[in-house]
Amino acid sequence: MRFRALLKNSLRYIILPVGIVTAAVMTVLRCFYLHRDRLFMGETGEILDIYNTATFFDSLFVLVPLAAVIGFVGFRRICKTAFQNNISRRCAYRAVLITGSLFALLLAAIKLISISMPVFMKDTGVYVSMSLICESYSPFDAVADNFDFQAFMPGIMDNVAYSSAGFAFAQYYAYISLLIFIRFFEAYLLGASMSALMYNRERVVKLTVIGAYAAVLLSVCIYSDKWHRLIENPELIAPVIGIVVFGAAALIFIRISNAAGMEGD
Amino acid sequence: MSVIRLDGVTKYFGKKAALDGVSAEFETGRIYGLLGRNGAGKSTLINSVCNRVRINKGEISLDGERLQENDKALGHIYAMSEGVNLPGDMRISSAFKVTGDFYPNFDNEYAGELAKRFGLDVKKRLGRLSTGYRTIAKIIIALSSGAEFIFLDEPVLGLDANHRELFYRLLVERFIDSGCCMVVSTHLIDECANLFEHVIIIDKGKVICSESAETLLNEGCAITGSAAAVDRFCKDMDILSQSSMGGIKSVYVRGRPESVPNGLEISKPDMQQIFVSITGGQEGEGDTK
Repeated sequence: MRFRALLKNSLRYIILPVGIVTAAVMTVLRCFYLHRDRLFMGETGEILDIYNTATFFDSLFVLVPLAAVIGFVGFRRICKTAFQNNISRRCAYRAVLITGSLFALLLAAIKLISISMPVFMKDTGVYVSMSLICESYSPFDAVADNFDFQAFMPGIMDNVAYSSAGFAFAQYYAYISLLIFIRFFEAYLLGASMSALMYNRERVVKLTVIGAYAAVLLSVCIYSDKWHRLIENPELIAPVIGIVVFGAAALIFIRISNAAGMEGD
Repeated sequence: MSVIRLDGVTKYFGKKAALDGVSAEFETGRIYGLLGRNGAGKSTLINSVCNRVRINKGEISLDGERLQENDKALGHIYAMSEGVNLPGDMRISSAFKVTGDFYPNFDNEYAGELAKRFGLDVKKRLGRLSTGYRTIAKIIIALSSGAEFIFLDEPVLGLDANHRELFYRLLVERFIDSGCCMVVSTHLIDECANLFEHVIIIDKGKVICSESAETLLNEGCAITGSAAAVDRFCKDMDILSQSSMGGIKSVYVRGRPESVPNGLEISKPDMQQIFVSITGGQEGEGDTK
Protein backbone atom coordinates (compact mmCIF):
# COMPACT_ATOMS: atom_id res chain seq x y z
CA MET A 1 0.00 0.00 0.00
CA ARG A 2 2.83 2.39 0.90
CA PHE A 3 4.62 1.47 -2.32
CA ARG A 4 1.47 2.23 -4.31
CA ALA A 5 1.16 5.54 -2.46
CA LEU A 6 4.72 6.46 -3.41
CA LEU A 7 4.12 5.52 -7.05
CA LYS A 8 0.90 7.52 -7.09
CA ASN A 9 2.80 10.53 -5.81
CA SER A 10 5.53 9.95 -8.38
CA LEU A 11 2.96 10.06 -11.15
CA ARG A 12 1.36 13.14 -9.65
CA TYR A 13 4.58 15.08 -9.24
CA ILE A 14 6.85 13.84 -12.06
CA ILE A 15 5.03 12.16 -14.92
CA LEU A 16 2.03 14.45 -15.16
CA PRO A 17 3.90 17.78 -14.92
CA VAL A 18 6.57 16.56 -17.36
CA GLY A 19 3.96 15.28 -19.77
CA ILE A 20 1.68 18.26 -19.70
CA VAL A 21 4.25 21.06 -19.66
CA THR A 22 6.74 19.52 -22.09
CA ALA A 23 4.11 18.37 -24.55
CA ALA A 24 2.37 21.75 -24.42
CA VAL A 25 5.57 23.73 -24.97
CA MET A 26 6.74 21.40 -27.75
CA THR A 27 3.40 21.52 -29.53
CA VAL A 28 3.26 25.30 -29.45
CA LEU A 29 6.84 25.59 -30.72
CA ARG A 30 6.39 23.04 -33.50
CA CYS A 31 3.14 24.56 -34.64
CA PHE A 32 4.74 27.96 -34.66
CA TYR A 33 7.74 26.82 -36.73
CA LEU A 34 5.66 24.74 -39.15
CA HIS A 35 3.16 27.52 -39.67
CA ARG A 36 5.88 30.09 -40.21
CA ASP A 37 7.83 27.83 -42.58
CA ARG A 38 4.79 27.03 -44.69
CA LEU A 39 4.02 30.69 -44.99
CA PHE A 40 7.48 31.79 -46.01
CA MET A 41 9.03 28.75 -47.67
CA GLY A 42 6.12 27.07 -49.35
CA GLU A 43 5.95 23.32 -49.73
CA THR A 44 9.52 22.77 -50.80
CA GLY A 45 12.60 21.07 -49.50
CA GLU A 46 13.82 24.37 -48.14
CA ILE A 47 11.74 23.76 -45.08
CA LEU A 48 14.35 21.24 -44.00
CA ASP A 49 16.95 23.71 -42.84
CA ILE A 50 14.49 25.80 -40.94
CA TYR A 51 12.94 22.75 -39.34
CA ASN A 52 16.31 21.43 -38.32
CA THR A 53 17.08 24.75 -36.68
CA ALA A 54 13.79 24.51 -34.82
CA THR A 55 14.64 21.02 -33.62
CA PHE A 56 17.97 22.24 -32.40
CA PHE A 57 16.45 25.19 -30.57
CA ASP A 58 13.72 23.32 -28.83
CA SER A 59 16.16 20.58 -27.84
CA LEU A 60 18.60 23.10 -26.47
CA PHE A 61 16.28 25.57 -24.84
CA VAL A 62 13.15 23.58 -24.12
CA LEU A 63 13.51 19.84 -23.75
CA VAL A 64 16.81 19.53 -21.91
CA PRO A 65 16.22 22.21 -19.31
CA LEU A 66 12.53 21.45 -18.97
CA ALA A 67 13.05 17.74 -18.49
CA ALA A 68 15.91 18.36 -16.09
CA VAL A 69 14.10 20.96 -14.01
CA ILE A 70 10.74 19.21 -13.85
CA GLY A 71 12.38 15.83 -13.44
CA PHE A 72 14.62 16.86 -10.60
CA VAL A 73 12.04 18.99 -8.84
CA GLY A 74 9.74 15.98 -9.09
CA PHE A 75 12.38 13.54 -7.86
CA ARG A 76 13.19 15.88 -5.00
CA ARG A 77 9.55 15.90 -3.96
CA ILE A 78 9.42 12.13 -4.09
CA CYS A 79 12.60 11.77 -2.05
CA LYS A 80 11.35 14.17 0.58
CA THR A 81 7.96 12.47 0.71
CA ALA A 82 9.58 9.04 0.95
CA PHE A 83 11.89 10.26 3.70
CA GLN A 84 9.13 11.92 5.73
CA ASN A 85 6.89 8.87 5.57
CA ASN A 86 9.55 6.32 6.61
CA ILE A 87 9.58 4.48 3.31
CA SER A 88 12.08 1.64 3.22
CA ARG A 89 15.04 2.04 0.90
CA ARG A 90 14.01 -1.01 -1.12
CA CYS A 91 10.56 0.45 -1.72
CA ALA A 92 11.99 3.89 -2.59
CA TYR A 93 14.48 2.35 -5.05
CA ARG A 94 11.69 0.48 -6.80
CA ALA A 95 9.51 3.57 -7.03
CA VAL A 96 12.37 5.69 -8.36
CA LEU A 97 13.25 3.06 -10.97
CA ILE A 98 9.68 2.69 -12.18
CA THR A 99 9.14 6.44 -12.19
CA GLY A 100 12.45 6.93 -13.96
CA SER A 101 11.39 4.45 -16.66
CA LEU A 102 8.02 6.12 -17.13
CA PHE A 103 9.68 9.52 -17.13
CA ALA A 104 12.15 8.47 -19.81
CA LEU A 105 9.49 6.76 -21.90
CA LEU A 106 7.40 9.87 -21.77
CA LEU A 107 10.28 12.00 -23.00
CA ALA A 108 10.90 9.47 -25.78
CA ALA A 109 7.23 9.58 -26.73
CA ILE A 110 7.23 13.36 -26.84
CA LYS A 111 10.30 13.34 -29.03
CA LEU A 112 8.83 10.68 -31.31
CA ILE A 113 5.64 12.66 -31.72
CA SER A 114 7.68 15.68 -32.66
CA ILE A 115 9.65 13.55 -35.14
CA SER A 116 6.43 12.22 -36.65
CA MET A 117 5.18 15.64 -37.59
CA PRO A 118 7.45 16.24 -40.60
CA VAL A 119 7.29 12.58 -41.66
CA PHE A 120 3.54 12.81 -41.91
CA MET A 121 3.94 15.83 -44.12
CA LYS A 122 5.10 13.56 -46.94
CA ASP A 123 1.98 14.33 -48.96
CA THR A 124 3.20 17.87 -49.19
CA GLY A 125 6.26 16.59 -51.04
CA VAL A 126 8.60 17.38 -48.21
CA TYR A 127 11.07 14.68 -47.35
CA VAL A 128 12.96 15.17 -44.14
CA SER A 129 16.05 13.13 -43.50
CA MET A 130 15.80 11.15 -40.28
CA SER A 131 19.43 11.60 -39.40
CA LEU A 132 18.96 15.34 -39.48
CA ILE A 133 15.73 15.72 -37.56
CA CYS A 134 16.63 13.16 -34.94
CA GLU A 135 19.38 15.22 -33.37
CA SER A 136 19.37 14.24 -29.77
CA TYR A 137 18.67 16.02 -26.57
CA SER A 138 20.26 13.08 -24.78
CA PRO A 139 23.71 11.71 -25.65
CA PHE A 140 22.27 8.19 -25.53
CA ASP A 141 20.19 8.96 -28.60
CA ALA A 142 23.47 9.21 -30.45
CA VAL A 143 23.66 5.42 -30.35
CA ALA A 144 20.40 5.31 -32.29
CA ASP A 145 21.48 8.14 -34.57
CA ASN A 146 24.59 6.22 -35.57
CA PHE A 147 23.03 2.80 -35.76
CA ASP A 148 23.53 1.07 -39.11
CA PHE A 149 19.96 0.20 -40.01
CA GLN A 150 21.06 -0.95 -43.47
CA ALA A 151 23.23 -3.67 -41.97
CA PHE A 152 20.72 -4.55 -39.27
CA MET A 153 17.71 -4.99 -41.54
CA PRO A 154 19.08 -5.68 -45.04
CA GLY A 155 15.91 -7.47 -46.17
CA ILE A 156 13.77 -4.46 -45.53
CA MET A 157 16.25 -1.88 -46.62
CA ASP A 158 17.12 -3.57 -49.93
CA ASN A 159 13.53 -3.50 -51.02
CA VAL A 160 12.98 0.19 -50.60
CA ALA A 161 14.55 2.97 -52.49
CA TYR A 162 16.81 5.10 -50.35
CA SER A 163 14.95 8.29 -50.96
CA SER A 164 11.45 6.91 -50.82
CA ALA A 165 9.00 7.46 -48.04
CA GLY A 166 9.04 3.66 -47.54
CA PHE A 167 12.62 3.79 -46.44
CA ALA A 168 11.90 6.72 -44.22
CA PHE A 169 9.16 4.81 -42.44
CA ALA A 170 11.17 1.57 -42.08
CA GLN A 171 14.04 3.53 -40.65
CA TYR A 172 11.66 5.55 -38.56
CA TYR A 173 10.14 2.52 -36.82
CA ALA A 174 13.53 0.84 -36.36
CA TYR A 175 14.72 4.07 -34.84
CA ILE A 176 11.72 4.21 -32.49
CA SER A 177 12.36 0.67 -31.24
CA LEU A 178 16.00 1.38 -30.57
CA LEU A 179 15.20 4.69 -28.97
CA ILE A 180 12.74 3.09 -26.56
CA PHE A 181 15.28 0.40 -25.65
CA ILE A 182 17.90 3.08 -25.05
CA ARG A 183 15.41 5.10 -23.02
CA PHE A 184 14.87 2.11 -20.71
CA PHE A 185 18.59 1.68 -20.27
CA GLU A 186 18.97 5.38 -19.57
CA ALA A 187 16.04 5.34 -17.17
CA TYR A 188 17.54 2.53 -15.13
CA LEU A 189 20.89 4.26 -15.04
CA LEU A 190 19.21 7.48 -13.97
CA GLY A 191 17.05 5.62 -11.46
CA ALA A 192 20.03 3.81 -9.96
CA SER A 193 21.97 7.07 -9.72
CA MET A 194 19.08 8.87 -8.06
CA SER A 195 18.52 6.02 -5.61
CA ALA A 196 22.18 5.94 -4.68
CA LEU A 197 22.19 9.71 -4.21
CA MET A 198 19.02 9.60 -2.17
CA TYR A 199 19.93 7.26 0.59
CA ASN A 200 23.69 7.17 0.85
CA ARG A 201 25.43 9.45 3.18
CA GLU A 202 29.01 9.01 2.11
CA ARG A 203 30.15 11.78 -0.18
CA VAL A 204 32.47 9.37 -1.94
CA VAL A 205 29.48 7.22 -3.00
CA LYS A 206 27.66 10.26 -4.33
CA LEU A 207 30.65 11.51 -6.25
CA THR A 208 31.31 8.01 -7.62
CA VAL A 209 27.74 7.77 -8.85
CA ILE A 210 27.86 11.17 -10.54
CA GLY A 211 31.29 10.41 -11.95
CA ALA A 212 30.16 7.02 -13.30
CA TYR A 213 27.09 8.58 -14.90
CA ALA A 214 29.15 11.32 -16.52
CA ALA A 215 31.73 8.74 -17.68
CA VAL A 216 29.06 6.58 -19.31
CA LEU A 217 27.60 9.61 -21.08
CA LEU A 218 31.01 10.68 -22.25
CA SER A 219 31.89 7.17 -23.48
CA VAL A 220 28.67 7.04 -25.46
CA CYS A 221 29.45 10.42 -26.98
CA ILE A 222 32.93 9.30 -28.01
CA TYR A 223 31.83 5.82 -29.14
CA SER A 224 29.05 7.18 -31.27
CA ASP A 225 31.28 9.74 -32.93
CA LYS A 226 29.15 12.44 -31.34
CA TRP A 227 32.30 14.02 -30.03
CA HIS A 228 33.70 14.72 -33.50
CA ARG A 229 30.35 15.80 -34.79
CA LEU A 230 30.11 18.12 -31.84
CA ILE A 231 33.41 19.78 -32.69
CA GLU A 232 32.40 20.10 -36.32
CA ASN A 233 28.86 21.18 -35.49
CA PRO A 234 28.80 23.38 -32.42
CA GLU A 235 25.00 23.52 -32.58
CA LEU A 236 24.91 19.92 -31.33
CA ILE A 237 25.94 21.16 -27.93
CA ALA A 238 22.57 20.18 -26.46
CA PRO A 239 23.76 16.82 -25.09
CA VAL A 240 26.65 18.52 -23.36
CA ILE A 241 24.22 20.97 -21.83
CA GLY A 242 22.26 17.92 -20.71
CA ILE A 243 25.29 16.54 -18.88
CA VAL A 244 26.02 19.89 -17.25
CA VAL A 245 22.39 20.28 -16.20
CA PHE A 246 22.39 16.76 -14.80
CA GLY A 247 25.58 17.41 -12.85
CA ALA A 248 24.29 20.70 -11.47
CA ALA A 249 20.95 19.19 -10.57
CA ALA A 250 22.68 16.26 -8.85
CA LEU A 251 24.81 18.61 -6.78
CA ILE A 252 21.77 20.67 -5.79
CA PHE A 253 20.01 17.44 -4.95
CA ILE A 254 22.81 16.38 -2.63
CA ARG A 255 22.61 19.70 -0.84
CA ILE A 256 18.86 19.37 -0.46
CA SER A 257 19.05 15.78 0.70
CA ASN A 258 21.68 16.71 3.24
CA ALA A 259 19.66 19.69 4.41
CA ALA A 260 16.65 17.44 4.82
CA GLY A 261 18.75 15.24 7.07
CA MET A 262 18.85 12.29 4.70
CA GLU A 263 21.85 10.76 6.38
CA GLY A 264 23.42 14.12 5.69
CA ASP A 265 26.92 15.08 6.52
CA MET B 1 0.02 -3.29 23.64
CA SER B 2 2.80 -2.76 21.06
CA VAL B 3 6.44 -2.20 21.90
CA ILE B 4 9.35 -0.75 19.96
CA ARG B 5 12.56 -2.21 21.31
CA LEU B 6 16.05 -0.87 20.67
CA ASP B 7 18.82 -3.28 21.52
CA GLY B 8 22.43 -2.13 21.49
CA VAL B 9 21.85 0.37 18.69
CA THR B 10 25.02 2.08 17.46
CA LYS B 11 25.22 4.70 14.74
CA TYR B 12 28.42 6.33 13.58
CA PHE B 13 28.73 9.58 11.67
CA GLY B 14 32.28 9.36 10.43
CA LYS B 15 34.26 8.29 13.47
CA LYS B 16 31.87 9.82 15.99
CA ALA B 17 29.30 7.54 17.57
CA ALA B 18 26.03 9.48 17.57
CA LEU B 19 24.41 6.48 19.27
CA ASP B 20 26.55 4.13 21.31
CA GLY B 21 24.89 0.85 22.26
CA VAL B 22 21.50 2.37 23.00
CA SER B 23 18.88 0.06 24.48
CA ALA B 24 15.40 1.38 25.22
CA GLU B 25 11.73 0.53 24.93
CA PHE B 26 8.70 2.52 23.85
CA GLU B 27 5.26 1.11 24.66
CA THR B 28 1.86 2.21 23.44
CA GLY B 29 -0.29 3.88 26.09
CA ARG B 30 2.55 6.01 27.41
CA ILE B 31 3.98 9.47 26.85
CA TYR B 32 7.77 9.49 26.89
CA GLY B 33 10.09 12.40 27.36
CA LEU B 34 13.26 11.99 25.33
CA LEU B 35 15.70 14.45 26.84
CA GLY B 36 19.30 15.30 26.12
CA ARG B 37 21.66 18.17 25.54
CA ASN B 38 22.39 19.53 22.08
CA GLY B 39 24.07 16.86 19.96
CA ALA B 40 23.30 14.13 22.49
CA GLY B 41 21.77 11.86 19.83
CA LYS B 42 18.02 12.38 20.31
CA SER B 43 17.25 13.10 16.65
CA THR B 44 19.54 10.28 15.51
CA LEU B 45 17.66 7.92 17.79
CA ILE B 46 14.33 9.00 16.28
CA ASN B 47 15.71 8.77 12.73
CA SER B 48 17.11 5.30 13.47
CA VAL B 49 13.75 4.05 14.69
CA CYS B 50 12.11 5.42 11.54
CA ASN B 51 14.65 3.77 9.25
CA ARG B 52 15.80 7.20 8.07
CA VAL B 53 19.38 6.45 8.94
CA ARG B 54 21.11 3.11 8.69
CA ILE B 55 22.30 1.86 12.04
CA ASN B 56 25.75 0.30 12.23
CA LYS B 57 25.06 -2.18 15.03
CA GLY B 58 22.16 -3.44 17.07
CA GLU B 59 18.54 -4.24 16.42
CA ILE B 60 15.31 -2.26 16.39
CA SER B 61 12.05 -4.20 16.48
CA LEU B 62 8.33 -3.64 16.72
CA ASP B 63 6.62 -6.45 18.63
CA GLY B 64 9.55 -8.70 17.86
CA GLU B 65 9.50 -7.93 14.14
CA ARG B 66 12.61 -6.27 12.74
CA LEU B 67 11.87 -2.63 11.87
CA GLN B 68 14.66 -1.84 9.44
CA GLU B 69 13.46 -2.02 5.81
CA ASN B 70 10.09 -3.32 7.00
CA ASP B 71 7.49 -1.15 5.29
CA LYS B 72 4.52 -2.72 7.00
CA ALA B 73 5.98 -2.14 10.47
CA LEU B 74 7.26 1.34 9.58
CA GLY B 75 3.69 2.30 8.65
CA HIS B 76 2.86 2.19 12.38
CA ILE B 77 5.35 4.94 13.16
CA TYR B 78 5.15 8.64 12.38
CA ALA B 79 7.97 11.02 13.19
CA MET B 80 7.74 14.76 13.15
CA SER B 81 11.26 16.00 12.46
CA GLU B 82 12.81 19.23 13.64
CA GLY B 83 13.25 20.31 10.00
CA VAL B 84 10.67 20.24 7.23
CA ASN B 85 10.94 17.17 5.05
CA LEU B 86 7.89 17.86 2.95
CA PRO B 87 8.47 20.05 -0.13
CA GLY B 88 8.19 23.77 0.58
CA ASP B 89 5.95 24.40 -2.41
CA MET B 90 3.39 21.89 -1.19
CA ARG B 91 0.10 23.29 0.13
CA ILE B 92 -0.86 22.22 3.63
CA SER B 93 -4.05 20.59 2.33
CA SER B 94 -1.91 18.58 -0.13
CA ALA B 95 0.43 17.60 2.70
CA PHE B 96 -2.62 16.21 4.56
CA LYS B 97 -3.62 14.29 1.42
CA VAL B 98 -0.12 12.92 0.81
CA THR B 99 0.25 11.81 4.44
CA GLY B 100 -3.16 10.15 4.15
CA ASP B 101 -1.84 8.10 1.22
CA PHE B 102 0.85 6.62 3.45
CA TYR B 103 -1.09 6.41 6.72
CA PRO B 104 -4.51 4.85 6.15
CA ASN B 105 -5.74 5.94 9.57
CA PHE B 106 -4.94 9.59 8.88
CA ASP B 107 -7.90 11.65 10.05
CA ASN B 108 -8.40 14.41 7.51
CA GLU B 109 -11.41 15.83 9.29
CA TYR B 110 -9.53 16.07 12.58
CA ALA B 111 -6.59 17.70 10.77
CA GLY B 112 -8.93 20.35 9.35
CA GLU B 113 -10.43 20.92 12.78
CA LEU B 114 -6.97 21.36 14.35
CA ALA B 115 -5.99 23.78 11.58
CA LYS B 116 -9.01 25.91 12.48
CA ARG B 117 -8.17 25.80 16.19
CA PHE B 118 -4.61 26.93 15.49
CA GLY B 119 -5.77 29.48 12.93
CA LEU B 120 -3.79 27.85 10.12
CA ASP B 121 -4.83 28.47 6.51
CA VAL B 122 -4.59 25.08 4.80
CA LYS B 123 -4.39 26.67 1.36
CA LYS B 124 -0.99 28.16 2.16
CA ARG B 125 2.24 26.54 0.99
CA LEU B 126 4.55 25.07 3.63
CA GLY B 127 7.50 27.15 2.48
CA ARG B 128 5.56 30.40 2.95
CA LEU B 129 4.75 29.80 6.60
CA SER B 130 6.51 31.40 9.55
CA THR B 131 8.63 29.11 11.74
CA GLY B 132 5.81 28.83 14.28
CA TYR B 133 3.11 28.00 11.76
CA ARG B 134 5.38 25.52 10.00
CA THR B 135 5.73 23.75 13.34
CA ILE B 136 1.96 23.89 13.78
CA ALA B 137 1.46 22.30 10.34
CA LYS B 138 3.86 19.51 11.30
CA ILE B 139 2.14 19.02 14.66
CA ILE B 140 -1.28 18.76 13.01
CA ILE B 141 -0.04 16.17 10.52
CA ALA B 142 1.62 14.16 13.29
CA LEU B 143 -1.38 14.19 15.62
CA SER B 144 -3.76 13.31 12.77
CA SER B 145 -1.55 10.55 11.34
CA GLY B 146 -3.33 7.81 13.26
CA ALA B 147 0.01 6.05 13.78
CA GLU B 148 0.51 3.86 16.83
CA PHE B 149 3.83 5.51 17.64
CA ILE B 150 4.27 9.25 17.22
CA PHE B 151 7.71 10.76 17.67
CA LEU B 152 7.81 14.54 18.05
CA ASP B 153 11.22 16.14 17.71
CA GLU B 154 11.19 19.67 19.14
CA PRO B 155 7.43 20.06 18.66
CA VAL B 156 7.17 23.51 20.22
CA LEU B 157 9.94 25.18 18.22
CA GLY B 158 8.88 28.74 17.43
CA LEU B 159 5.44 28.44 19.06
CA ASP B 160 4.14 31.27 21.23
CA ALA B 161 2.91 30.54 24.77
CA ASN B 162 -0.75 30.29 23.70
CA HIS B 163 -0.05 27.84 20.92
CA ARG B 164 2.21 25.80 23.21
CA GLU B 165 -0.60 25.49 25.75
CA LEU B 166 -3.00 24.46 23.00
CA PHE B 167 -0.52 21.88 21.73
CA TYR B 168 -0.03 20.32 25.18
CA ARG B 169 -3.80 20.09 25.60
CA LEU B 170 -4.29 18.52 22.15
CA LEU B 171 -1.45 16.07 22.71
CA VAL B 172 -3.06 14.78 25.90
CA GLU B 173 -6.52 14.69 24.27
CA ARG B 174 -5.20 12.69 21.33
CA PHE B 175 -3.25 10.40 23.65
CA ILE B 176 -6.37 9.65 25.71
CA ASP B 177 -8.46 9.06 22.57
CA SER B 178 -6.03 6.81 20.75
CA GLY B 179 -3.90 5.21 23.47
CA CYS B 180 -0.91 5.51 21.19
CA CYS B 181 2.71 6.01 22.21
CA MET B 182 3.96 9.59 22.12
CA VAL B 183 7.65 10.35 22.35
CA VAL B 184 8.42 14.02 22.87
CA SER B 185 11.95 15.28 22.45
CA THR B 186 12.32 18.81 23.76
CA HIS B 187 14.55 21.32 25.48
CA LEU B 188 11.60 23.02 27.22
CA ILE B 189 11.74 20.44 29.99
CA ASP B 190 9.79 22.24 32.70
CA GLU B 191 6.86 22.99 30.41
CA CYS B 192 6.53 19.40 29.26
CA ALA B 193 7.44 17.70 32.53
CA ASN B 194 3.81 17.18 33.55
CA LEU B 195 3.10 15.32 30.31
CA PHE B 196 5.78 12.70 30.72
CA GLU B 197 5.08 9.32 32.25
CA HIS B 198 8.52 8.03 31.51
CA VAL B 199 11.75 9.89 30.91
CA ILE B 200 14.72 8.74 28.85
CA ILE B 201 17.81 10.88 29.13
CA ILE B 202 20.45 10.47 26.51
CA ASP B 203 23.94 11.92 26.69
CA LYS B 204 26.84 11.53 24.27
CA GLY B 205 24.93 8.80 22.44
CA LYS B 206 24.21 6.72 25.54
CA VAL B 207 21.05 6.28 27.57
CA ILE B 208 22.08 7.44 31.02
CA CYS B 209 18.66 7.37 32.62
CA SER B 210 15.40 5.61 31.86
CA GLU B 211 12.95 6.03 34.72
CA SER B 212 9.32 6.81 35.34
CA ALA B 213 8.89 10.54 35.83
CA GLU B 214 7.53 9.99 39.32
CA THR B 215 10.53 7.95 40.47
CA LEU B 216 12.87 10.52 39.04
CA LEU B 217 11.15 13.42 40.79
CA ASN B 218 11.10 11.61 44.13
CA GLU B 219 14.69 10.48 43.92
CA GLY B 220 16.16 13.61 45.47
CA CYS B 221 15.43 17.04 46.85
CA ALA B 222 16.76 20.59 46.64
CA ILE B 223 18.21 22.29 49.72
CA THR B 224 18.50 26.06 49.57
CA GLY B 225 19.95 28.62 51.93
CA SER B 226 23.08 30.61 52.69
CA ALA B 227 26.12 29.05 51.07
CA ALA B 228 27.94 28.33 54.33
CA ALA B 229 24.89 26.73 55.98
CA VAL B 230 24.11 24.59 52.92
CA ASP B 231 27.72 23.42 52.64
CA ARG B 232 27.80 22.52 56.32
CA PHE B 233 24.54 20.59 56.16
CA CYS B 234 25.21 18.74 52.92
CA LYS B 235 28.85 17.81 53.40
CA ASP B 236 28.10 14.08 53.92
CA MET B 237 25.29 13.85 51.38
CA ASP B 238 25.32 12.58 47.81
CA ILE B 239 25.30 15.89 45.94
CA LEU B 240 24.00 15.62 42.41
CA SER B 241 24.30 19.27 41.40
CA GLN B 242 24.64 22.71 42.90
CA SER B 243 24.22 26.32 41.88
CA SER B 244 24.86 29.66 43.61
CA MET B 245 23.55 33.15 43.14
CA GLY B 246 24.88 35.91 45.39
CA GLY B 247 25.19 34.38 48.85
CA ILE B 248 22.38 31.88 48.26
CA LYS B 249 23.22 28.34 47.32
CA SER B 250 20.96 25.58 46.05
CA VAL B 251 22.07 21.96 46.20
CA TYR B 252 20.28 19.01 44.67
CA VAL B 253 20.94 15.86 46.71
CA ARG B 254 19.96 12.22 46.41
CA GLY B 255 17.42 11.11 49.02
CA ARG B 256 15.42 13.35 51.32
CA PRO B 257 16.55 14.35 54.86
CA GLU B 258 13.82 14.17 57.51
CA SER B 259 14.46 17.71 58.72
CA VAL B 260 16.68 20.68 57.96
CA PRO B 261 18.14 23.31 60.32
CA ASN B 262 16.57 26.73 60.60
CA GLY B 263 17.52 29.02 57.71
CA LEU B 264 17.53 26.20 55.14
CA GLU B 265 14.65 25.25 52.88
CA ILE B 266 13.89 21.85 51.45
CA SER B 267 11.90 21.51 48.23
CA LYS B 268 11.02 19.03 45.52
CA PRO B 269 13.32 19.55 42.54
CA ASP B 270 11.89 20.20 39.12
CA MET B 271 12.59 18.05 36.08
CA GLN B 272 15.00 20.59 34.66
CA GLN B 273 17.15 20.57 37.79
CA ILE B 274 17.26 16.80 37.70
CA PHE B 275 18.17 16.85 34.02
CA VAL B 276 20.98 19.36 34.58
CA SER B 277 22.37 17.34 37.45
CA ILE B 278 22.25 14.05 35.56
CA THR B 279 23.81 15.43 32.40
CA GLY B 280 26.67 17.01 34.28
CA GLY B 281 26.20 20.68 35.01
CA GLN B 282 25.71 23.70 32.86
CA GLU B 283 28.96 23.95 30.94
CA GLY B 284 28.68 23.26 27.26
CA GLU B 285 31.06 20.92 25.53
CA GLY B 286 30.31 22.00 22.01
CA ASP B 287 29.16 19.87 19.15
CA THR B 288 31.91 17.53 18.19
CA LYS B 289 29.95 15.86 15.39
